[in-house]
Amino acid sequence: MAEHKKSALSCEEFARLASTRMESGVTWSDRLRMLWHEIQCVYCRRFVAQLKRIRGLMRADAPAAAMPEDMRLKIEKQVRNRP
Amino acid sequence: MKNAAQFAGRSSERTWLIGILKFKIIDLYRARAREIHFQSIDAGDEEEGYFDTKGHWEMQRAPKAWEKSPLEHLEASELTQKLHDCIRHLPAAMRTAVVLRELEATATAEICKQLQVTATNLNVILYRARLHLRSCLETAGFTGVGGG
Repeated sequence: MAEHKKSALSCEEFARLASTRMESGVTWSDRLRMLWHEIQCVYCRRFVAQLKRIRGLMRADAPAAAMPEDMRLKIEKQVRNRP
Repeated sequence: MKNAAQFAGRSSERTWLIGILKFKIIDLYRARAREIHFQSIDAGDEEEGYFDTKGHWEMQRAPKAWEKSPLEHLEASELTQKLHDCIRHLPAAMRTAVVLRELEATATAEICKQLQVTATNLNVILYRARLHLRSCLETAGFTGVGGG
């Protein structure tokens, strides 16, 4: 029973893993649990597709999407000022 | 004391040791300042409000179908503009992480180094940023064009 409970992801757990999957990747068992959740949940399917869309928008159109100069300077300053 | 050989003898040993101690204390305070900085950012921006107590999406904030929204009819440049507006409204650490990761495709390890956070912390920061960004873009798309 406990094992069964562990295998079912909530949307919140799914969303967190979906973001992690875009970074360091997730374990095979998590991947399976995500697949199982995705089959059943339209919102989480949209969530994954929309995160990919946002990443695509930002990366594909890099010159047009280039960071405004003031934002870049602000961020660079912030990073540099870190002791 | 392994660097005692470097001690030039121009000052007393006591001054030398106090000098080292001073820098150790400065290091400690710097490390603590960093920690507090990121804790405060985290504390103010939980992913609260997106999910109910059972971990289901809150109906108001659950991802909508973008293909049915005016988002899909926007020019690419308009969409990018909206995305930038949303990025501007992110808290500082999230903004930096998202810009480095998504816009510049910087390697995760490099961002961790620049922000001085662990990979786990970065995952949390990026996760929260993505929740906010997705929601912000959706809100802008559904309400900002042609009366929704």
